[in-house]
Amino acid sequence: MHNTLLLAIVVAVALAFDFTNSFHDTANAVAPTIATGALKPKVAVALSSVFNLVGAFLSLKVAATIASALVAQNLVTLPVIFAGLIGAIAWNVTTWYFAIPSSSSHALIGGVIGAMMVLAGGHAVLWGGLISKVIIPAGLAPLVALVAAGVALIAARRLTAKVDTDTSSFGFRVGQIGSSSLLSIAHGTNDAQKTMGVVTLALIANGTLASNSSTPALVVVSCAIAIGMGTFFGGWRIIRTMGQGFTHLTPQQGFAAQIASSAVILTSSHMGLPLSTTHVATGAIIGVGAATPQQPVRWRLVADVAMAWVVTLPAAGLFGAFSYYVAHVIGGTFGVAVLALVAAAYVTFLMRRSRRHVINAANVNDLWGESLAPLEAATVVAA
Amino acid sequence: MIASLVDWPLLGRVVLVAVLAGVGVVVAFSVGLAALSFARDTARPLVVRILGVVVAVVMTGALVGALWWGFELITKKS
Repeated sequence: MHNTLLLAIVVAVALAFDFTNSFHDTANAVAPTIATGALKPKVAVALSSVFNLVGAFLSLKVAATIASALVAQNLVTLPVIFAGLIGAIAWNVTTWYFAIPSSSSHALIGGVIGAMMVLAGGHAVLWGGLISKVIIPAGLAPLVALVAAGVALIAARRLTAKVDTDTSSFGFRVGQIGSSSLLSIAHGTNDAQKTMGVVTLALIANGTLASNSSTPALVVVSCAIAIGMGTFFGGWRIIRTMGQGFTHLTPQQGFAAQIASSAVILTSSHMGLPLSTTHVATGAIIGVGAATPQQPVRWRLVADVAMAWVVTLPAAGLFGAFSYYVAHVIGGTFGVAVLALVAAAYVTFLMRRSRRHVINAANVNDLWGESLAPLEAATVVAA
Repeated sequence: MIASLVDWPLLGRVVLVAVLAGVGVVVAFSVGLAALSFARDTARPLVVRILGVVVAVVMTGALVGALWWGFELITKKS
């Protein structure tokens, strides 16, 4: 039952997933804040990082295992968890490379389902749960956020029509700092718990912990640090897409989008229908853009992102299935270790390739072009 | 078939509360900002300026309450 090396690999991969999750999701809380100049890019991600870290400690109840109600729980093993995590990391890093905001939770669910299908076939997947808890909310989240943000913006615009521009901009920028902080705390609480649940499950599956044990303090601290670090390093590519890509955001739009996102995420989660933070934040930004005729939304980019959302589950599922299959064929802890190295090589490859079009704190707010090369786009406009 | 998998009443409540909460906070903030702007405008009558301060204070209280409610939702989820 005890396999310390396998457990160590799974825990390390889970923390790596936590890192990529927050790295990927930084944009959800800070993209409008950075785009409108409410905070400087590095200050915004540092603040978000602190609030993510704090959020991770606010709630110590282990969240329902990510795949509960989605796969047959009695069949979940350490290699399945491992393969699911590898699938999620691979998809997260791929979408980060292409600067596409996508749901890390969906990636993890897809990865686990893919691995489970290789292990036990389609009957091990609870398809009803998948449709009602993942697919329908995925379609609903951006629409609810779009409507809430659009209506909120129209109301704000009418109510502040007689306020001078400087006062209005300053006020909404200050408001954005508060809404961004609230979103960061909510993210830290939700997503750190997700990884804490995975690590605790791995410890239980390995026999290190009794089945009804609470989350060890070391797991809580490790997950909190991983999520804080991931946020601090900032997924600049995705921040750029969300802050500059969909539409040009004003402080009023940014505030309306962030408040609408916070309201939708917190109320839906509290009422038992948690929605993807990424889908909600993206929908809200598109909503404020759609409610502002003079600043059109780039619908082609919206369509690309929507397509990525549709593909997330099956793509992460394929990554997860491949990971489980390869680890299973090689066999044992050695197979898992080999696959961890392959995954690390894939991540390194994409990181190195991303240096061809560097996006960082210095150019994250540059004018948006059709390519991912912001400096080229700025040069064309200047010429 | 698929429709039967969805808890429509819950879905309706989530959409209604989420939209109302989001719009409500933005409206409160905007009213507060507009009131503050009125209060700072020396060209306006004193009564209007005092009313502006009162509305701004009330809206600030409402926003602090909303922020506290949001924080409660985060922590109570556990």
